[in-house]
Parts: sequence; structure tokens; C-alpha cells
Amino acid sequence: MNTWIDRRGIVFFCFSVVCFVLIWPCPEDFRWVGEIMGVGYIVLGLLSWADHLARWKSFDGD
Amino acid sequence: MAGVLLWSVIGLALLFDFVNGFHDAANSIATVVATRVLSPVKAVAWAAFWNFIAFAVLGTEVAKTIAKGVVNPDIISIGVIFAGLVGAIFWNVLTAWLGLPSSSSHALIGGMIGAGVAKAGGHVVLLEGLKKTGVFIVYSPLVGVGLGFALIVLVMWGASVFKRVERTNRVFRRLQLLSAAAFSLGHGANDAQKTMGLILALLIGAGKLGKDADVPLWVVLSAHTAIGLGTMFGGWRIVKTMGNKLTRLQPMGGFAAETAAAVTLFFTSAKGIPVSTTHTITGAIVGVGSSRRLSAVRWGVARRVVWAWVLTIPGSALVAAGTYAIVAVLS
Repeated sequence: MNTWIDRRGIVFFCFSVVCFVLIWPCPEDFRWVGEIMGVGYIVLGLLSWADHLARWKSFDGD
Repeated sequence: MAGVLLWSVIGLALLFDFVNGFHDAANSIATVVATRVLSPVKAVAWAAFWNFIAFAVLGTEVAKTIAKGVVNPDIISIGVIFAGLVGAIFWNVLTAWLGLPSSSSHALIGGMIGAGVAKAGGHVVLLEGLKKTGVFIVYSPLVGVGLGFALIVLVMWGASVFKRVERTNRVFRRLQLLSAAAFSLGHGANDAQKTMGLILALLIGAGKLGKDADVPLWVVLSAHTAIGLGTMFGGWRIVKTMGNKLTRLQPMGGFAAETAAAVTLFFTSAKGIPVSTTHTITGAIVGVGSSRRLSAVRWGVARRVVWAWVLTIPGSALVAAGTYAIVAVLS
């Protein structure tokens, strides 16, 4: 908790990149899966980072 | 002679299915046993029952992908399926012995590709089917991670809003029965269908069925019986060696992981996509674990899954190609 960087958020953003990259070789019928997962991981990454920042600020203030 | 060979290879395919259930029994029962929701004996029977019953719920799309969507069905023969199976089994045994990661589903697909290419060249590989399978090798655990994480966060948020964590845990102990059943159903559907697909390809290749034939009922029933029995025997082994020494889990976490994996398996089974059930539940457990903190996840396990993605298909394809070369020389 001694840094503002959220490692979990970064991992989720990396997963999002993987999902988007795999849309290219994916058969057309299933491309929506990669799109939804890519967007989903961005949302999870942002929420995770927001949660981390809230905890970090309260930790810093103590 | 051809009939004896055909039935011997069908027997080998069912043995592969049995071993699959044997290996994966831990995935189906580990969380319900760890959370003391069911005794090990009841958990084994519960998982085996849902493994068997899957045939009535989730269709046979994965079987059709294995039979007609990996390599051109025109070149499939008893020798190709035999070599593919030997490649998959040999690769699984070798990697288990060496302590390397593996997936029996991917090994089977690699084996089919290797044997098919050894028989008739690279053009027999059906790229559409291979792309679908290849992309979902990565997608299925990632769906598990995302869904597992989202579910456990939702459940914990709900529990904190109502300030009834103890009561919530009691409710989730019961709900875990459903999630374990759902996971076993998904496991039975996706994994038993891989064997069904092999047998269907074999019967088409041997001229016993037409090219557009559906999976015969006896194939469906025998594949589900084999995986159900495998789970029973595998579960007994786990009971004997592990008993109640499993890590203590919260019922909420077990429920979230199993539900996330079950949803992934239901979707892939309905769409005819063969995936690794082990990788899917591993992804879901990683997702649940990462809700506490990232270091709570055993990243060594995740690393092994990535290595399995890289190694299994080429490795089993190589063994199957070698086996087919020997079969071709002998016959």
C-alpha cells in the first residue's frame, strides 16, 4: 500500500490488451467475445485502481 | 480384423475419457470438500452424477468440432485416430512424469493435427476450427478470471451492505451444492464430448456412418459413463490421499469460482468450442484470489498454464506424427 500504482489494475489492463489482440485471429462469429472481455477488463482495471487509490489515500493520511 | 481394430481404438478413446475424469475429479470436488459442504464420499458421487447427466443438457456441438472441425474428415482413418490418441496419452504421461504442465484437451487436438498432417500434409488442418480452438485456449481462463473476480466482489459487497457475513456464508454453503453441480455438468459436457467427437470421426472414417451423421446415442452414453466412472475412481483416490487436508476456503469464494467456470463451460460447450476445464477453473480461482490482493494468487500455477498453452499442442502433435509414421510403416 506504499505506492499509488495498482498492480492488479495493471494486470487487468494487460489482460484487456490480450483480449483485443486475439480479436484479429478469432473467427468472425466469436469476435464479440474478445470485444466484451477487452472492455470488461478495462472496467475491472479502472475499478480496481479506484479502490486501490481510495485505500492508499486513507493509508497515507493515517 | 478392421472391426477388431475399430473397437480397440474406440476402447482406447473411452480409456482416455476415463483418465480425463480421473484427473479432473479434484477440480469438481475440491471446493465443496474444503468448505465441508459435503463429505468427500458424497462429493464424489455428486460430481460423477452431474458428469453423467450432462449429455441430456448441453448437446453435442463440441463433439462435432472435434470430429469435423480440426482436420479434414475425409482423411480420418483408424490409424489417424489411433496415432492422435497415442500422441495425447503419451504426451500427458510424459509431462506428468517430468512435472511439466499439460492439458488433455489440447493434447487431443494436437494429436489429431499431428496424425492428420503426417498422413496427408499441412493442408488437411482446418484453419477456421483451429483458430476458434486456439483463441479460446487463452480466452477461457481469462473469462474465468474476470467472472470469478466480478462475482466474488459482488457477493462480498452484498454481504457487507446487509452486514450479515455469517448468514451469507451459511447461504453460500448451500449454494455451493448448485455451483459444484453446474461445474461438473460443464466438465462432463465439454470433456466427454471430445471423446464423442473422436469416436464419431472414427465411425465416419471407417464408413460406419455418413459424413453428416449426428453422434449416436450409444456413443454419447458410453462417453459420459466413462468420464463419470473416471471421476468416481479419481475422487476415491483424492479421498484417500488428501482427505480433509485441503486448504480451508470460504463458501463464497468456492461458489464464485465454480459458477464463473461453469458459465464459461456452458457457453463454450453450447458453441462447440473445446476448452480445458482445468485451465478454466484455475482462471476462476485466480480471479477470486486476486480480489483480496494480487500476492494472494499463486502465480506459479498461472505461469504453468501459460506454458501449457505453448507446449501442449506442438508436443502432442509431434508424438502423434511419429506414431502415425510407425503405424504407416507397419500396416
